[in-house]
Amino acid sequence: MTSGITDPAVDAASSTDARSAPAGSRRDWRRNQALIVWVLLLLCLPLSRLASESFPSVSLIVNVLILGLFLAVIAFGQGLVVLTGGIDLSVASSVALGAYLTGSLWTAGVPAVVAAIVAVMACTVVGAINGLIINRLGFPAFIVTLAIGTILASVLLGVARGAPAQRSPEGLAALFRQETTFLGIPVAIWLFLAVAGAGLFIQHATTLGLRAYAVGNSVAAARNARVDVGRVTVTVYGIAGTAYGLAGVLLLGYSSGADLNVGEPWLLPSIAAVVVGGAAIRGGSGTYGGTLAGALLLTLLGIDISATGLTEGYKQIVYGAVILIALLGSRLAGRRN
Amino acid sequence: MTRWRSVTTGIAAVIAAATLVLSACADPDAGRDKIFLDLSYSGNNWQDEAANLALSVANSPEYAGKYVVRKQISGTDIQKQISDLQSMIAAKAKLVVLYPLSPSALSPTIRQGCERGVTFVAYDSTVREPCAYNVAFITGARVDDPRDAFFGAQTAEGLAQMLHGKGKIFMNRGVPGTATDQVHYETAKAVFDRYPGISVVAEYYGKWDSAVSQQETAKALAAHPDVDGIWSQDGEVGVVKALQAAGKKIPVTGENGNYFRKMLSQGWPGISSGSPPAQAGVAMRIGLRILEHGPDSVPHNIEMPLPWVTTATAKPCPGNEFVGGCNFFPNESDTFVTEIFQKDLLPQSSLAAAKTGQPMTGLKPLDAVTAFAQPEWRRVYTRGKCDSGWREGDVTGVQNPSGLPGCVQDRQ
Repeated sequence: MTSGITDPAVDAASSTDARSAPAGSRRDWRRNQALIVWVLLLLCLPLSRLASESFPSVSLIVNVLILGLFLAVIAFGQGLVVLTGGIDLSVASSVALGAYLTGSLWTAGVPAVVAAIVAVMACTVVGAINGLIINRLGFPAFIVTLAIGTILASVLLGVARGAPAQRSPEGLAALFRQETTFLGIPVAIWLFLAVAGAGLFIQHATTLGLRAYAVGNSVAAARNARVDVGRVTVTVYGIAGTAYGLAGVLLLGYSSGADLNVGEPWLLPSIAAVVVGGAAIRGGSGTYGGTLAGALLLTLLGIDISATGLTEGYKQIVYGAVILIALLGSRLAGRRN
Repeated sequence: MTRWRSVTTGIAAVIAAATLVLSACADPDAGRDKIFLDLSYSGNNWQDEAANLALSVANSPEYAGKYVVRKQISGTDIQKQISDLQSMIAAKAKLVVLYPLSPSALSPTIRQGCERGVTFVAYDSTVREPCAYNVAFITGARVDDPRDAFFGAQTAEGLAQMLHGKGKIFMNRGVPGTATDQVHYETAKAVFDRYPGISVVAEYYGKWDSAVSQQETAKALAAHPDVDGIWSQDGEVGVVKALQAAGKKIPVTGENGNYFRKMLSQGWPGISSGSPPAQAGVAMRIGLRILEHGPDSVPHNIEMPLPWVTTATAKPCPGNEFVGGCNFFPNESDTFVTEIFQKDLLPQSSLAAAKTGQPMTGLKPLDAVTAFAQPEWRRVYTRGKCDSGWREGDVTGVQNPSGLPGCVQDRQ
């Protein structure tokens, strides 16, 4: 990987972008891949004009933030897993579990907040099981998460027999209406900011975050440094599960209802957002700030490409090409030192 | 590590023992003919309702003693469906009712099955292999006027009229690359092209999924806030929700989602038509009729009539049945697909049958299926070619809209 092995402490300190970085690493801003993706994002905003005459507009930015919220939450979980050198393919099933359980508990008379918390906790447990199996049995993460994801999907299908769709609690659905505002800004955007803050904090300001970097760089070295690799792995997958579950709850509210397919479209974009955001797919480096920029960039591109009126084939080609350009950009940024 | 190994060995031993015990049990199905229901991905309301309706027909008291029915989920992978069908043929199936994933890829397998005496009935989507039966709405005509054919063309015509022939519209398509999406889109586009005042400003794929349709519609609305109407395939519930989030109330045509009908009944301008899950129940009835009374007088191409519900006719059902012309269930989930009933072909259906597969009662043998045979001039859409004595050409005079491509009689 171009960024090489990063010292977890330094990487965590250089955090999201130059603004929050301490003075010491400011001269290295050109090496900061996350910053490059943010610049790319800011460049793409006015370039949206090419796609539609009504862009850029306030409604464009509002839409990017609202639709980007789901990807930002899911990619946070995926990003943590990728950081430890794994990859999580149970995203779709976990998102579905979060949405399904919230909806069905609420329908059964449980208060919405309790239903959402129970659902998210169930997803945490599923994530922790992923981590436990990966750590204890030493199987590759992608195959374990694929297996657990498949089992979970089948269990949901069996349990949901005949009624896979769930309604959303009214209050949850109301959060996503654009007229639901706080200080004049749609609540969904506040949610985005809250998620961004929590994600940055967990990945860059907690011991767990530091240990995740350490495990991703070298399991052996982490062990030598007395990091409990097993505990870190289980916690990281558990937190990732929490994020997917939360995304499920949010998607249930956004669509004011969800069926079991709700998580399906998010698996590959979540990996793409992490990698476009400058993380190494083999683990050990990457920032949540970069992932956030990646998630917003992919969402913006989705909207722009949709606005061009190109046929579906061309849309996918453009989408793929822009991801490659973003990857090239962040790689060049990593090399220039 | 040793501890784990012994645990694993223990688990393996338990599984092996369980398998032995299970296989040692006597076969409770002995003496009953085998029926298989093969569906695509399950997990959305449409597929589950369709499967339940088919099962509730096969498990009805009239048939349960004679047949045993198994459900198989083939997912979205055509290879998996081929291998599932082959297993069913090997297991000596008498009848396979299936949701086909491809019109042509299953042909060799289906032909092989037909040669071994298996009856195949495809629902919703169609297969081209001539020995199989198709029960499909794709080319079907409106339930209120048998001359008005094609979901795509009819809803497009309806939208154009609501817009008085002019305005900017979106088209929310289905799953890219499927034959069904293609027929809907092409027949709709052919209609829109006749209205010079109508321009399609955005086209996107909602993948017959409410959540995807909602996100795609939200994206298109960001670029074209001045849109005047939306033509949608399945996923219209998401379309309406995206419009509501943006504070717009414009005409929408779509399929049979519960929430969409509810909004229509509250005055939202639009038309609800499209794919009825009842098709699967009808397909099972057709298959059972062939098993019981032979294939005589059962047409190979059966058209499911197109439901047609408008702002004026949308009406909530007070209970669990379609009574008094009601057409949606206000207490069911938003994406529940309302068309679980067909007055001629599946009158015994109920909400319980669609939701749990509860066996239907009072099923009488189907008669007069011939009334629902697909006319020869629409054959090319479902079988890929015209019948002998017919050739491809523009069809005029027998259906609305006139002039769509189809089959015309050879005049030699």
